[in-house]
Amino acid sequence: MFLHDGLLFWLPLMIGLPVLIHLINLLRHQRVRWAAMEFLLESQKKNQNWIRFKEILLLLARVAALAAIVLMLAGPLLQMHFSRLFAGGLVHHVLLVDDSLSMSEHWDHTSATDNARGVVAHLYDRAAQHPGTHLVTLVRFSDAAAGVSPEIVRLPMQAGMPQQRESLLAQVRPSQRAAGPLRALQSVEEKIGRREGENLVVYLISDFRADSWRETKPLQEAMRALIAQQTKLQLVRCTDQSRGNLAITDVAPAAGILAADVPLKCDVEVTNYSSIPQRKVQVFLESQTQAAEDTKQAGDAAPSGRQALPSVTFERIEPGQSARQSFSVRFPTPGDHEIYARLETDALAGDNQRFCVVKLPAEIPLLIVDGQPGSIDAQLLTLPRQRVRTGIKTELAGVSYLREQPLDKFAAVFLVNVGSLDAGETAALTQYVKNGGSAVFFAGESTRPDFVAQSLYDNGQGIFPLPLVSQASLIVDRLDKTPDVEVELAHPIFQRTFAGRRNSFLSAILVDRYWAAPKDWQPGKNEGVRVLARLRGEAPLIVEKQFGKGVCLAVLTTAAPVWNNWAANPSFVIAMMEAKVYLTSRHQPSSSRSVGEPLAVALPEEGYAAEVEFVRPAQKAQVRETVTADKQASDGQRRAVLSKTDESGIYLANLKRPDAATETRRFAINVPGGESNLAALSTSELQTALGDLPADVHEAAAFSGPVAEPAELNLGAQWWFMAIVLAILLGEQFLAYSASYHLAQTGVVPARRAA
Amino acid sequence: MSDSKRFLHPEAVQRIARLELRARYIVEGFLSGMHRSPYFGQSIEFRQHRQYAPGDDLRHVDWKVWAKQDRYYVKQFEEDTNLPCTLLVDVSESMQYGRGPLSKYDYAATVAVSLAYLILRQQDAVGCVSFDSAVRNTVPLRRRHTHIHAIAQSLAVSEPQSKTDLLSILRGVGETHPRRGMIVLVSDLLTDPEALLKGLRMLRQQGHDVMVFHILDDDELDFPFSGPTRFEGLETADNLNCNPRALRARYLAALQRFLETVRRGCAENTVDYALIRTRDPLDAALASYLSNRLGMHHRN
Repeated sequence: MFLHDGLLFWLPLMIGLPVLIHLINLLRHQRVRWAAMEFLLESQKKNQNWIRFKEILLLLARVAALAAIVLMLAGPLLQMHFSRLFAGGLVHHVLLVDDSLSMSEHWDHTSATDNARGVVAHLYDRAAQHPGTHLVTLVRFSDAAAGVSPEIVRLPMQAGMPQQRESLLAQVRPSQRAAGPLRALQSVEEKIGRREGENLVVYLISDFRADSWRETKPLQEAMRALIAQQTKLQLVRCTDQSRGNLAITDVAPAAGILAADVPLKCDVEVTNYSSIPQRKVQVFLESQTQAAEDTKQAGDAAPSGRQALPSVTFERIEPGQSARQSFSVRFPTPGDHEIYARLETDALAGDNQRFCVVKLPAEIPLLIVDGQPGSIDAQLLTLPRQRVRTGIKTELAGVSYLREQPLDKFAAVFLVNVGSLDAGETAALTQYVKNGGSAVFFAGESTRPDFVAQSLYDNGQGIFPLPLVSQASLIVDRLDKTPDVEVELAHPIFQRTFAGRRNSFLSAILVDRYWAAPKDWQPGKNEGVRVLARLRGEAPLIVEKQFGKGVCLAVLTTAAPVWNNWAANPSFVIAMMEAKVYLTSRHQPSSSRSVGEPLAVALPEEGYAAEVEFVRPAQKAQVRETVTADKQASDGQRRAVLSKTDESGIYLANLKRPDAATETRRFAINVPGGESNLAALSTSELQTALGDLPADVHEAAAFSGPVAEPAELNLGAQWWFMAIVLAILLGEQFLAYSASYHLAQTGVVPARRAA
Repeated sequence: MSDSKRFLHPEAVQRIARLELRARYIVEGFLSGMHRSPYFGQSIEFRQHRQYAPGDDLRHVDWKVWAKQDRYYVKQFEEDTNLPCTLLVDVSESMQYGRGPLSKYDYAATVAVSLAYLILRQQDAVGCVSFDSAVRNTVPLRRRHTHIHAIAQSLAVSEPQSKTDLLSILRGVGETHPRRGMIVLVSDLLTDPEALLKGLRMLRQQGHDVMVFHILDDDELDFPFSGPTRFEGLETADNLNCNPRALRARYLAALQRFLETVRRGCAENTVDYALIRTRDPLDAALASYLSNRLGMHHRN
């Protein structure tokens, strides 16, 4: 483009002028009849090539000089880089703005989101100044990932409309969600589309974290699809470098009995997302006890106040590694209780805190079915009794209880010396285990191998882990100090019971009799069966089987010290406690969800009101939202779903019970994993990820500051352009002088006079 | 430059069309005090005294006589060499060139006739041979005053054409002029210098005194041309389209080499050599001739 296009008409003429003059001169040469041709020809012969070369150079220099002068006067206009994006009449600027958690990264009084906002403002101001029609659509990564349509679509960018500008900028804000660029790129065609006559420019405004760009192929395909539609693609980096970050990645109860007034062991995990080890990392812990009753009038269960717990200090966390430490907390009352963990502030504040809700029942019910009512076996399994607060409430019953009462409320069912079960009892027990329950069989005199084989083992399809053959005696040489029982020490039941090199409990266990399995029996690989304890490395003594969602343990000797002396060993009570902990804690529902995941609350039974009031945390105040529960087609259960879970924190769901009381449930929602690693792609890595795609990569700084640069630059008015023209002219003169087109010096051959 | 020289400039001389008149004009002007030759009166032997008359040159007063007799007598001189002089005038086509008042041919012819006039005035015999590739005209040696007309006539009718072949000319002259004399070559010498020097050497070996007037045009010496030019050879079929300024330096260098060769060759063969531009005043040749005569007088 030129300032004065009309002058270009003269360009061919001016370029041809030296050639024309040269041709005319060839025809208009003066003729001289010359006597001293010999000297002339001698000179010409020696100079011929060099003269021709200089004349060609001179001709080219004259052509170049004239062309440069014409161009300079015509005023070539260079469209500034960004102005090329604004050319073309109707331009639709689609801003794909990254609002994932990592965009909250801050440094030096700014943040990635601040940079993104600056980019958007700059684009708006530039578009408002540029001729033509400019429309803007803003798509947030999180909205695109959730399938939400953008709020701002084809908004005209015009000067003198500050409210419009502010409404656009207000959309640029970070969330606590994890969202990558793929869905945003795909949404351009899916949700926005292209209209006739639109020139589409797509800006990907992001921090380009390495984790988000790990799978480059689908991103390349999405970008290629855009470019194939004549879309200009611009990538704008909002971070200047990769920074380290510490994040609390987990706070959760450890395996154990979750019951009120029982010391609760919890774990906290911190991950070091930096390239250097982190030392003396302190995690501040708080707990918050809620009332056990869920009949609070207020419904929002006004917190009774957080209580500080002893902080946990990680001495050293290696780069890229996680570290866990345990802490203990005790909640005296049953109900939903909160644990809150916090780190000191760093580059990314969102992942420096984590919430955990611990649902504690008053007690954990456990059923002991005694095949021989009143036997000591069952009594032994109730130890330790109420003298020690275990949180376990044991109920003793006969075998018919299996059929008559629902088993779902029990965390585990122990069957002691049970000979047989009728079909209903067997079916109830089988269904119970299948649904996630835990069953433990203790063998005894009453055990019937045929029943076990037919109903419980059922050729490996039943809940019992192995077939039984007959009672057997363990014949050993007691002078041989080899322990009778060998256990899998890694198993949670035995891990702490028999841990330690000086632990002599295991070697003190003597087994006299047991129920033997077939000699050729071995646990199959796909049956979920494993042997936890053997007799002298051979016959199985304790076998575990995963069945459905539950587990079944078979102890092939008596609980009572009849066939063995284990019950007389202090380790028996501990082992049984560990077994109960293991069996009851296997299916503790997770209380942590991620930001962005819908929060679904199932209404337990008819009679509960369909409206559920959700209370969700917000920056300044809690927000209440009422959701009506819908019956789910999959299982017929009513569920109320809160879709807006944008903030991390404790969410409450207030249910109206049939008796009009309010039942409050608590849920912890935390920032998602994957956004804490702030390692960003370098420019070269980004170029590699783009491959051969014709996309421009910019830094956010290039979009900063007021729009001062002109849309176009007149090259002809630039000093360096004039300098080039002058240099060409001087060069032409030099060549002309060199080619002897200037006045020659006097080199007269003097006439020698006679002496 | 004195006013007297002004009348000997080609611009002034070229107004006189007839060679004899031109020659007379030049010689009389040269001899009658317009040019104070230091050699005048000294290059000619004393013949007799005559009584002093007002207007005589005081340089010619014999002061010894005055000292002895207290009377004023003027010396009268007479040349005593009596060498016949043959003028060789190049009338080849190359002599046609000249953008000034006089072409080389005009200048050469004027010089030749002027010399003939001077020589005849001194009562010596003079002849003329005009040549190009061969002898065009031959005027025998005569002493009569009216011989000047024949010489002028022979040069006037000779129109420059054809090429120069100096060697054969000089050889021929040597053969046709066996008696020792003076040979004056008036030419632009645009020929093979080796052939020229060979011819001159031959004449010298024969005992002739040889003088060479090398007539060149200013253009040939300065090469002042500019702009696209087509040079067409006068004696050859060569032609050249060129930018003269681009060739000037090497042309002058080649010319300089040629002149040095000729000059050196003449010096080696004791041939008097004078390079004359066609814009130079015409007394240069006369002065050179007279200087040569003085030298001969002293040698003899």
